[in-house]
Amino acid sequence: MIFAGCDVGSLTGKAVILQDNEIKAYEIMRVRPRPEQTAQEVMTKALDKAGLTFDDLAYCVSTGYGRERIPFAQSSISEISCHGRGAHWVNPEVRTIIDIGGQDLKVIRVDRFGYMADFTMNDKCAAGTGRFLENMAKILGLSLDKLGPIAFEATRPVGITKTCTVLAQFDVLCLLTDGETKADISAGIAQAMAERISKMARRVGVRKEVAMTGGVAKNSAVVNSLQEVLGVQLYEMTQVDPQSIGALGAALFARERFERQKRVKG
Amino acid sequence: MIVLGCDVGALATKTVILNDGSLLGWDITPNEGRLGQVAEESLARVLKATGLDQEEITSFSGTGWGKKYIPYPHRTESLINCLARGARWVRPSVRTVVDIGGLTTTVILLKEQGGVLEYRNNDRCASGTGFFIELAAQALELPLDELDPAAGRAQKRAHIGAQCAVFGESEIISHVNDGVEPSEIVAGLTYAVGLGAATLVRRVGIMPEILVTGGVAKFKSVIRSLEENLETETCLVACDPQIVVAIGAALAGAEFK
Repeated sequence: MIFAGCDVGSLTGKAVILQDNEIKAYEIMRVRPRPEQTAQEVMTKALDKAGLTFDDLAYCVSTGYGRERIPFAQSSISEISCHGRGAHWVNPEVRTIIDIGGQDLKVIRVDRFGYMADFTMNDKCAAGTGRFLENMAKILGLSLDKLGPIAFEATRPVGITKTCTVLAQFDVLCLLTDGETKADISAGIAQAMAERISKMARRVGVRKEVAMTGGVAKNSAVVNSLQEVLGVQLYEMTQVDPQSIGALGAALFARERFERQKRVKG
Repeated sequence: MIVLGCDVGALATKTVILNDGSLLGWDITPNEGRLGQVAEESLARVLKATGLDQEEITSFSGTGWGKKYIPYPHRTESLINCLARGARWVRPSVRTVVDIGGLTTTVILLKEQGGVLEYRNNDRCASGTGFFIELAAQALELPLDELDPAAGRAQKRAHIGAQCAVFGESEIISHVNDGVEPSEIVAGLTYAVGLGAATLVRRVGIMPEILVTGGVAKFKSVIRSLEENLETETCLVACDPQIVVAIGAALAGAEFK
């Protein structure tokens, strides 16, 4: 039986195909203007990778900001539940999930079954979100995947005091004009992110194992700074793309719902 | 006495020249990220416009967020001081000044005699500032001078709930993708900016007369929203509202001499 999860966020869309408790294929892409387009395209790409079609899917669950607008999904579930579920499947010891997407920052505490125990979220302000990093990368003239690694070349990280994405952008512009290196600035950016994230995380309490999900988990400098600021080693996902965890959780819920349906009918 | 004031803001650099209290000439140049060079360019332009030589100017005063990037020799003044002085010069009876700039909105309450009684700005968040308007105009693919007319045409306002300029831009892009009438989106965003400014004003207090300055004061739709949300009238300046701070800087220089 083949199940699928589709996570349409504000900046990226993700699809995961699950078969025999394994991830058969997954895809991540930048959003299209409409959520329906994003969902259709990302799921088609994932299915193509798996050598499958929409007809092969037994059940599909949608999640994320655009979840209500995905016509091929049988049901939709909140991303908080999906991230909790997905992270727990990767490592059942995970109790705290720091999910940082394009436009929000969530900290989710889960119980030993992977169900949500507590959570807090910032979606009013771009500080500490993927957008913050994207904007910073733009000002520095770096691609997003170079922003993290370059921070490790820092000799003297600069302090970036403003959490506001817009104000911090201007701070960075000044720093560049003053002759600070991109490496030092990037390190300062990672530090600013880490402090913002840890402030949120302490609201619900940080319990090991702690995992980061969402695109920002791929910024090694932020991960590093966060470990320092929180004083705890993060569980790093090596086998599964941390950005696909929401879609993975949705696929797991798809399997659960399908089996429940079967039991009810049978 | 010929004096010069230069205000290096987040988005634009403004230079003015006064002579014995009269405005001789001024220049506004967008920064576009080139912090030091713009001040030089702005100086050159205003000298050309007034037909003066740099040697004829007896005092150079710099202010604003980026004042340290002014390359020519100058004295510096605080933004608050310049805003207060400039506002009083354009309108002697003013008591409340609302300056809506590129990144910062500043509200000052003045004493009857003119000194600063109280002030506040939005130093932690760029919501409701000129930067947001610029982002929005780009997202809508409209030039800035078409925003007011568009807002005027709108039958209703599109809702823009985000305070954050970054999220607000995303909201606008969503509206565009959903096929919402651009004029309604503009009406929504100018309303949101005025509302944001009004919220800050209320934290400081209102005393008539109220003057609105800064680049954003050029948007009548924003001023209408500000007035609606404050339930009071405001006054406009006779000169370009974006140069009020630079005027204040020049005046401070004159007094210093």
